[in-house]
Order: sequence, then structure tokens, then C-alpha cells
Amino acid sequence: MADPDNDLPPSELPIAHEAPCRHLRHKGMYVYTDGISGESHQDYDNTIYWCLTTMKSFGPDDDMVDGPGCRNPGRTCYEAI
Amino acid sequence: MPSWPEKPRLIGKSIPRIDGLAKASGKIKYPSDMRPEGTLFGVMLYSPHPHAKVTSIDTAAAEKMPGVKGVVVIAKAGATLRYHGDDIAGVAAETEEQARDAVRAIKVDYEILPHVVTEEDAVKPDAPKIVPSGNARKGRAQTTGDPEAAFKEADAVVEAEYSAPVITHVCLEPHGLTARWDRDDAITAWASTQAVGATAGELAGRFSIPVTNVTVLTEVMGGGFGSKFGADVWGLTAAELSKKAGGRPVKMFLDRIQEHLAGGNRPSAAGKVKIAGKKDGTVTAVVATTSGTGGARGGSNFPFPYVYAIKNVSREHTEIFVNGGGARAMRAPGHPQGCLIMEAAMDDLADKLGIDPLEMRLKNLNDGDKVVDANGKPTISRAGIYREQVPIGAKLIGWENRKPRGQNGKGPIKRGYGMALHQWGGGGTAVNKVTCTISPDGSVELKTATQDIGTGARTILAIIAAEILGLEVKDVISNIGNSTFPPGQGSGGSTTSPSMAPPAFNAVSKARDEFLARVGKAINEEPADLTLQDGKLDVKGKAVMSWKDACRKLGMMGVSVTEGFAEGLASGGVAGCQFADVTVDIETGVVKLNKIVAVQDSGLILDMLTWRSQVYGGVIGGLNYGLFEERVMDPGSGLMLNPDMELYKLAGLSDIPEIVVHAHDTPEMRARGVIGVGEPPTISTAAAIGNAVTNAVGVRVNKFPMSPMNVLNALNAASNKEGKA
Repeated sequence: MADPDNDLPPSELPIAHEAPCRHLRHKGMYVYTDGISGESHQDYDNTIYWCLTTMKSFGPDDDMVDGPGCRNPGRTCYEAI
Repeated sequence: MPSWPEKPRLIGKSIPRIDGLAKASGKIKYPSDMRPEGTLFGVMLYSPHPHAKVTSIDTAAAEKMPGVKGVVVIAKAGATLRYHGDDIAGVAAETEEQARDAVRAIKVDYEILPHVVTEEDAVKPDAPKIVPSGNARKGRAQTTGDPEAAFKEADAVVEAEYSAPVITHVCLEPHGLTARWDRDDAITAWASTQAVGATAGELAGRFSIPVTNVTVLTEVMGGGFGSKFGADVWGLTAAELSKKAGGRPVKMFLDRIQEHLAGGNRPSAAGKVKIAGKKDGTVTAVVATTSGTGGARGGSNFPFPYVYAIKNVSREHTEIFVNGGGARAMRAPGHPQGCLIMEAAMDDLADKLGIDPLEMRLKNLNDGDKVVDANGKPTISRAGIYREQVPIGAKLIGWENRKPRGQNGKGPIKRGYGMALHQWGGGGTAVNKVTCTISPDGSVELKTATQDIGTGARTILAIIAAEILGLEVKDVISNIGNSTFPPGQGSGGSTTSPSMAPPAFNAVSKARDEFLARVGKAINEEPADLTLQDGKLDVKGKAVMSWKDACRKLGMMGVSVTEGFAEGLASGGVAGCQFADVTVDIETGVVKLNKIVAVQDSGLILDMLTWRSQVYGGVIGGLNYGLFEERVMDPGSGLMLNPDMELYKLAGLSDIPEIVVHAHDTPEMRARGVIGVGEPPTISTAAAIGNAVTNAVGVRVNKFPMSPMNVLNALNAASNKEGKA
């Protein structure tokens, strides 16, 4: 099934505003001690995320762990900070 | 605002690392050397398939095997395995052999799923989906100016494709930890980690125990390069197995195969680039379509354009997901990829314009790019730093000997020169603390929960204390690598030194002040008249007693001060350039490195010896990327074909050329305070090598690494294009 978000032109990708899931982790959280933002730069984002529950790049719901996806309260595994 | 000494006695000198002898002699124990009493050996079962679903898993036979003390299932029935090496289960047994036998006895039934392991196959319409939303994800688009208009007005346009493969982490010490339950709510772990605090937090979180009851110890460790943050699935498995075994320690470190499969990697990078310029060397436009894969994980994007100011830009990146081990941060994440594509395009455009690529680089620097000064104000031009560094590097490499591309003689042995520029941020974070304790017996200890990942962090803390207290470095105990100490920096992003030096400076300075106040009172002298130097206490400039005698004046209680960050002692943002001199045999495609020059700034250098060691290490990592490393995936089986130290190529001693390290250590740079140097010197090495090889052989070798195969393929492709085949 086509994903409507992923089919949008890149400049129109949605920006997530929800708080991230409390199980979301990326290296920057342990280096820059910032619990919220990713390691996104002005022009590119190469943040590598993992889930504390699975310790992998896929969450308990078998979908990918990432910045926007893990701010989605609609995910079955989402737990707010 | 505090400031570093204007005329330091120790800071900036070449001082051997304080744990160097213990490391070289084997006296000090790495986490993977630790064998607490009663240690059990842990082994992970990992997926033999690139893509599969676990339909059932039966551990009964394994649990009955001799010596087995516990089995933990990670991938239960229904779980999806997404790469060769994905974790399935862990076993703890009395011996490693028993654990390996038990792993083999675990019966797993799989539903084999179709796989895809190459970027090219992953984006085909009928490719199996690795991610529910699809195997391709577009990044943020960048558009500036009007590239198409600029192309029309350009004097030269180059269109080319460049690429670099996935390379895997190859830390000398594998990933892992030994976990022991000390009681029903307390764990001790000896971990090979870049962040003792983070590892403690993840262990505590998994088992719902207070983080203060978890002690993570990393006295030394054998390299992480960005890949060792947190407890990891194998660390948590070790702790769970320890719990099952009544608290006995479980040692769980990956073997070398697992390291390649699951220990993380730098994503691939590919770019279709169209770049244009004017006769005077001004680069007027660049359009790039880039992509990369971090396996079954994101993180493949990278900075592009890189370093240079180009008015008309369009760039779009696509992340591609494949059935491969996931990416992890690797020394300067994203920058080496962006650098090698950008710098290849710059060289190709310079060649087409008939301009010295060095001059073209200098002409296109970004004068609007400012890095911060010691006051945190962006007042220092990074372009200005490059303009100072590049001529130094050119002189050291012998750039005047460089001939234009393709004009390197008629014989089969060609010599070439290449260069590349890089940059990095770094900088310190303000949340860390250091405790300085001066005891009545004269001992001085610094304590903080950071760790030395091989960079010399332990040594620089001791240097700071010795500098301030008038002692020798050997007189200071630098006690780090323990998560229960005051909070310390996780070692990533070149942030450890700029994060930990300021609190160390503050803690020691305030401990000294309190020390002098108390000693002054004890000897009836004004504290303002007291100073410390050469291991002695001076009154009005005259030595009156030894350091130890002065410490005895403290009575029964020592001085202990915990302090944090202060502005003015650290900053971030560096430039740097590297040059390569190579010889290429165009009959065999073999590249020999003759010399590499690295020119690097990083603010106030605390220890010139460990600083240079980091630059050497960065260059060696970079030359491996440029010449040797490549994860080879088999499209048919979906397996990694070279997960070992034989077929995964790395430089040997004879591959390492003369490496000239030049510290751009000027008064202006020193005034900026401490800046980290872990990442910057590894960024541009591969790019410089690629440009040198291309300069030597006369045609662009557009695929990294610069292996014989890639060099010969490029020569062959050029020959075919010219109709010479």
C-alpha cells in the first residue's frame, strides 16, 4: 500500500510536533544531553535511532524507529515521555 | 570569566598518556579481559538468513546441555529478522565452548522471506519491502538560487557519478559487557562503552531498578568510533542471563563475525552530480541526487554541498533500506561521504576548467561561515583558517610537483597528488561535573563519569590538575570510567575534551583556592601570598615546604570540590585540510600511498602527543576508507561475504605511508579554548586519496575504495569510451 506521506515531494514531508516516545534513543541524547531534538542539521538529518524496548531500529510494532514515526501517538507501542 | 594560563608549563606540551605503559604491558584490564569470580560465558545466536520470520523456537535441548546456566530468547515466534546477524537468543554456560554448543542446539524454524541487499535492487518496484512504508525515503530537499540558469551561463559543466560502499565498524575490542547482579536490585557491568552513564541508564531502565544501583565500569576500552553507546541488546541479554544464573557474572562480547554483521557500519553514499563553473574558477551551481543505505536503519544522509559557498544548489537525498546490518555513528557521521563526493566533483570541474584544484578551492570558500571565539561569539572566519592551512599543507606535500591530470608520464607507474578540505563542529556541553580531592597525604584525585575511549581523556584531566597545582602529571590520579562518579560526558562528536576540561579546570582551581586558604591559616600566612609550583608551596615567591608537607597542614580533612562547566574555556568549529601523494600501477591497479599531510586546528591543544595520536588515527581510518574497506553483500544469498579480518581489508603496517601531522596551533586558535579533535582528521583523507589516484591515472576513479578492481574498471571504462578497447 502506498504511503501518502512518503509519496509527497520531500519539501512537503510533515513535521512532527508531538513529544517523542520515551523509548526513543539516538546517540546525540547521550552526547548533547538533549532529550528531544534529533541530530538533524539545517540541510540534512542523519540521526540513527533505536528503540529501548527492542534495542533495534524497529519498534515492538514491527515498524521503523525514527524521529517523526516515534512521535506518533497512534503507534501501538508509543509511550509519551 | 576563567581563562587558561597564558604561559602554561604543561598544557600544550607532548606528554605521554598516563596509562600508556599499563596498556602496552597488558597490566591494565580492558572490559573484555575482565573475569570476575564465577564468570559464565555468553554467546549470541544470530540469524543465518537475511530476511525471515521466526515461526517457532525451542530452547529445551539447549537448556539441558552440560554447563548451561541460562537461555534468553530475543526473537520469539512471530519476530522478523531483517539481516544476516540479527539477534535471536543468548546462552550462558560455564565455558565458551559449552555456550557455543548450546547455541547450536537451539531449534529455530524460519519462514524464509524474500530479501534485498543492494541499493539498486531495493528500489525496484517488485523489491521485497524491508520497511512497511517502502524501501526508499526521501530526505529534506535543498534548493538555493537557480541552478538551471547558472548551468546555461557556465564556462564548464561536469556531470558525474561517485560512490562509496558501506564499511563496517572494526573496533579492536568487540562490543559487549560483563554483567553481574550484586543483589536483587543492583548490577555491576564491565562494559566496552563510550558512555558509562548511558549504559547504566539503559540497564536500570530495562530491569526497573534505580540507576544509582547500577555501576558501569570502563577503566579503558578498545575503541568505539561512535558505535558503542548504551547497553545494546547483547548487554541486556547478559544481564538477564546473569539474573537467571543467580547473579553470576555473564561475559557477553561479540565475536569478529558478529562485529561485522551487527556491530554497526557507515552507510554507503552515491551521488549523481552536475557541477558548473566559470573560467576564473568560481563554482556557480551544483545539482545532486544522492542516496545511501544504512541497512535496515536510517542515517545515510550527509552534508552536501560540503565546505564551499555555491550560490545555486539543488540537492535531494534518498535513504534506501536493505537487508543489511544497521548503521551506527562512525567517526564524523556523514562528513566523509559528503567530503569525498564534493571534493571529487570539485577536482573534476577544476580539471575541465584547466585550473589548479587548490586555487579553485581557495576561490570558493565560504566567507560567511564563522566559528566561535572564546567568548562564544561567531567572529572567526573558517575560510580564513583554510587560507592559512592550505598553503602549509601544499608545501608539506610538495604540491609544486603535481602535474595536471593525465600528464604523469608514459610508463605504467604514475604518481599523483590530491587534496581535500573538511570541517567539524564539536564543542562542549555544560552538564558535566568533576570532583577534585586533595588529601592530607598529598594525593590529588579527579573523579568524573566520563571515559577514555583511547583518545587520552584520562591524561588531559591530569595535565590540567598538575598545571594548576604546580605538580607533575604523575602526581595526579585521574579516576574516570565509573558511572557512579559525578556525571561525565558521553564520548561522541569530539565533545569529550571541550566538555570535561572546563569542569576539571574549575574544580581544581577552586580546590586550590580552598587549599591555600586553609594552609595559609595553618601557617599564619595570607592566602594571597601563597603559590604552588615545582611541587612546593611558595610564600611570596619563596619555596617554604614541599607539596606533601603543605597537604599535612590540612589536618584530618582534605579538600574536595565539585564543579561544572564555565564559558570561555572551550568552543567548537574547526577547519582542516589533507593532501595525498600516491603512486599507481595502471597495469595492476595497485595504489601505493607515499605520503599524507594533515593540517588541523582544534583550539587550545592540551596534550600535543595524544592530540597528534588522534590525528594519526584519524588519517589511518580515513586511508582505510579510501583504499581498502568495503562490506560485500551477496545478492543471491543475502549474506555478507567478508565478515572477518581476512577478506574485510584493512591497512597493514606496510600500507601506512609517511604521515605528516601539522597542528594549526596559533595564538588565535589557542584563545578559542579547548575543542575536540576525534572526528575532523578522518574526514578528508579518502577524498584526498581519491583525487590523488585520479590525478595519477588520468581518469576519474569514481568508486571507492581505490582498490585495484575499481582503478582498472575506471581505466577500462575510459578506454572503452575513447574507442581504444
